[in-house]
Amino acid sequence: MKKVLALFLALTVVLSLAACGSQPADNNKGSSTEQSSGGSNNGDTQNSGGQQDKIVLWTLAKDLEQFAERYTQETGNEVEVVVFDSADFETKIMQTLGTKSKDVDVFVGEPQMLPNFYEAGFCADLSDLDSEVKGRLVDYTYQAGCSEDGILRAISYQACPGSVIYRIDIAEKVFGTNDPEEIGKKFSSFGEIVKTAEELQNAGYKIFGDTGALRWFSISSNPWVKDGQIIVDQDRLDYFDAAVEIYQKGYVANATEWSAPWYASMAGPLPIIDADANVWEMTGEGLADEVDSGAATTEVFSYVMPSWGALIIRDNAADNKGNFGVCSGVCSFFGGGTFLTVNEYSEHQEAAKEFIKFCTLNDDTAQWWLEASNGDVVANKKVLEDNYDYQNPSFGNQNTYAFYSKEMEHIDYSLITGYDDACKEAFGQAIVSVQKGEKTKEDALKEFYMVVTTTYPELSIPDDAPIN
Amino acid sequence: MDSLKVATKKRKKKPSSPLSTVDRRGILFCLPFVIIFLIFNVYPVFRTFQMSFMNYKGFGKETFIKFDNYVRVFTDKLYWSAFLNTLKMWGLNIVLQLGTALLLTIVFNDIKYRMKGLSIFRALFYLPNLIACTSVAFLFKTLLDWKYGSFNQLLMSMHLISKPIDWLNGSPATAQAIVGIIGAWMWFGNSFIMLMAGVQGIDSSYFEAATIDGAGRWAIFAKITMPILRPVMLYVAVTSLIGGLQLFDIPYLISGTKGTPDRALFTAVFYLYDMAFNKNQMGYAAALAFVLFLIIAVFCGAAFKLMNRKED
Amino acid sequence: MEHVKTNSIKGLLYLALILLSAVCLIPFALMIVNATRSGSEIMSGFSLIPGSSLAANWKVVADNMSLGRGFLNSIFIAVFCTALTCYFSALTAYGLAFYKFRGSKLIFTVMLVFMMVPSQLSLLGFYDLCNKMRMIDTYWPLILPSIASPATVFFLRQYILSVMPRAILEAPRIDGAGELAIFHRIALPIMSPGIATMAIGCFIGSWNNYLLPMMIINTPSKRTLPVMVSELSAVKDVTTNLGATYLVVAISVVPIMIAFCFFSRYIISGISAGSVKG
Repeated sequence: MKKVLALFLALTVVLSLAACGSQPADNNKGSSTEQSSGGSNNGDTQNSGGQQDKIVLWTLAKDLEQFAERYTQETGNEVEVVVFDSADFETKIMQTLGTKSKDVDVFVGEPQMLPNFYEAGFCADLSDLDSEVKGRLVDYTYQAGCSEDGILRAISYQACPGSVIYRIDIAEKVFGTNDPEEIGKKFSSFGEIVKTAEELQNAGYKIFGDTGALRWFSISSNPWVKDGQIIVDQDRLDYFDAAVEIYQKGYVANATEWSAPWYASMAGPLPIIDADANVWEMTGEGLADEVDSGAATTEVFSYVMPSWGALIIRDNAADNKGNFGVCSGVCSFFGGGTFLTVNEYSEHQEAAKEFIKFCTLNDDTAQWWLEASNGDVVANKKVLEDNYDYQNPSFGNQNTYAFYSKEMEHIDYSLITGYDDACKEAFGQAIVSVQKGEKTKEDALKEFYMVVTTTYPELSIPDDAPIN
Repeated sequence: MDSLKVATKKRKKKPSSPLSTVDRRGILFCLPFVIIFLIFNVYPVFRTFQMSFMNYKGFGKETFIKFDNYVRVFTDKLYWSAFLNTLKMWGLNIVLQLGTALLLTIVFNDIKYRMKGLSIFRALFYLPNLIACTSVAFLFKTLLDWKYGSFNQLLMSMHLISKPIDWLNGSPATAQAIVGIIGAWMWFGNSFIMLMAGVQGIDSSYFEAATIDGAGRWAIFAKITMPILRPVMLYVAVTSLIGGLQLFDIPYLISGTKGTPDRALFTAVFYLYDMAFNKNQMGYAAALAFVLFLIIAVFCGAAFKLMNRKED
Repeated sequence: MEHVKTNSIKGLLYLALILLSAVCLIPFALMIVNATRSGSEIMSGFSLIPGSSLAANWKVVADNMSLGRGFLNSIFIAVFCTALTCYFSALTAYGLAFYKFRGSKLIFTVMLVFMMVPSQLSLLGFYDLCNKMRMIDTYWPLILPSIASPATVFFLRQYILSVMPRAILEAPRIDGAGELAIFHRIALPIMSPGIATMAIGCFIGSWNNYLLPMMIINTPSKRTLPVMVSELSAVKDVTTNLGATYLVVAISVVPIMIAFCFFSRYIISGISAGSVKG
């Protein structure tokens, strides 16, 4: 013991002296500080000479690795892609660029992050590309790409219009049709959705994985905040009631979005999770066996998701692949999307711009990505049109591009505010507390207003608010 | 470090008034600590203090708004309910944690039963403390899943419950209790080690003498063991309080960064973190942090007073 | 009769201890068992019998995450932090406990006060500082601050005051030993049980550290294990398979458990060997 300790301490002293000694030297070396055994040579991106500068890209989406690879192949210019899977990406950008870091040249943002990035002054002016983007790319992506002063600062290669994705086979069995128009009517209002859910329940199916699916329809005719006031219109109250009713009557499968059961529901039946179900007794048996045994399973009929959700469903559908269709819901919406933007402090702004142009404005790239991604919706209108006749085998040979292009025409970007996330989250929690019987609707709504006004004291409750 | 050596050499040449000279050398022992402390602890806190008087989003312009942020803190219902949540979760945690540790210490020091296997049990009890918070949170989140979690499956296969219980998203009180229990689960082994380290220092001849004098086991515990344990318990309680009021990781991760159900898992630090980095109100969050700091300071002061008074 | 009663109480106490151990172990047991079962098996029922899907789960994990790298990074940082914290905290604690210099009270008070400051919010100032010192994306900001660990100093100061009488220092001083040498030769060995206890805590603390590495480290190959585990929910191929999810958690946990089996002996003997004076 003593020897171990002595050795340990001796090592400590040596190492700590070494550490202290070498520290001042690091200050001159800059960002490429090397750890004695810290591993890899990290991005010393200050590249002198050569052709075009190597650029560093920070992203949330792995997709951009493929873009970067293709870019290098075609132009010979290098792009170092750093993928952050973390939910803290926005914080990370804020902290890094908040110190005017030059370590990043291109970074991505999702629509809800962009206004903050613009306001913080992180996004370089891209207005010389304005004329190319406007009209050529889907309108809402152009609007989202502009800061408040109307200057273009971010461009997306992707468009993410929303849709209801439903099971064709179940539709035929329950409703006698799988026509997207007809099924769309089943989802055209919150009232219809409740009726549809009941029909499905009677036939042994669940309409959604969970009621969170309805949140996408929460921005239908009014923004969440107008003139500094929080708006809860009739649509939102209907959404509230529908979510509570569907949940309390057991019309959903209780498979939460992004959870393993939710993914599993795309491929096949789920064990029913009712009070009297006894699936836990079937220890060790696979799901397949349970399906054979009959009664104890159910299937999820539909998912409300932006276009990228269609890819997720397709990838997890397994044997159900080709068994899905897309239709519109209560209102058109969009969700997420990867916008590229140039770091204001980057020393390689031209190279960065070239890369963004390549990803977003090049027709060949768009066509390549559309094929390589197997059905992602690109923002490039012309390329989308070229593919209108593409029959998507994952979606029962439906023309998904034609459908999504039409949906995008109805997206009203002016309804988007910086408060949407906070409002949706608080409203969602209010719904849950009523669903679980913790609160009455009135108390839950009061709490919703309290949460939003406490978080943002600058907001107020209008006189005609549905509480008194 | 070099200066220390120089200092000690000098001392040899000047043996006059050794104590005071020697005493002054003490600062050199503390110097590395002080330097690093000033840079990495004091400066960032000072910067935060400055921000608490600003309207500052965490980026862009900072405008001085005097005490507005602090005024807002006192009317912020969400913050105070988050603080109350913290107290509930920590309270359950510390009662379970210290209670279990103390019971274990009593059991293992009982001269009548002379329990064996201390080192094995101590290692087993300490085990949960080894695991990274992210892993713990993820593990419990998955195990306690309402529908597919192994915990409900286990309870149902033992016929202890007939319906799965929604541990984490059901009633707020249940979710808070779970966090408190996880905290105690993680830390009771640590407290136990601390308490045992304290007790083991007690010379066994004390016990023998006391036994010969005919003192009962409880008398020995109350008269000998407890007084010796008191400083260690003070240390455990104070550090746990300081850490507990800053509870963040487990509720943050286990509620999927949302604080559900019904904001019950929002703790004071969780709330200010959310304010700073998600709601982009850095200045206000800084004020929240300072109010929390003041509260912790008051609590600690009270704890010290309480423990010291008992000692007299 | 009395003997029987004693024995049966003893039996009950052991039973309680074993139950408590089970409470500590069962989550890990379930984790390990579930890591060997397929996603659908886990969803359909509870079992303590390992399944046969370990290889399949491993493939999913290996294809999507580089946990080995994160593991090494975490070890590297934790070892340095522990070494620095232990040595410098002992040094400081000794200095504060046995020397009455001007400012020693101040240091002690300021230290206590700063223990109470919520660390989350000083993150911004901390980050700002690291950036100015050009330390972003290096391990310096994760390692250097461990030289100043108020909680450890606080503990060790209390500890050394209770285990080491001032008089011990008289003899070597008269012999002309240097102050630093006295610290190394006399104080440090006496403090070692206390240091050992703090060392585990420090190692674990550094190992658990999640927020700071997440903020400081950019390069994926430098990320630590907790950061990787926290990003698990974003790795779709892993989350869709509960078995793989459990495996990732198991990978982050099991090596530490194994290491502890060996390490704990030193810690416990270290504590027992302590010459604590009552």
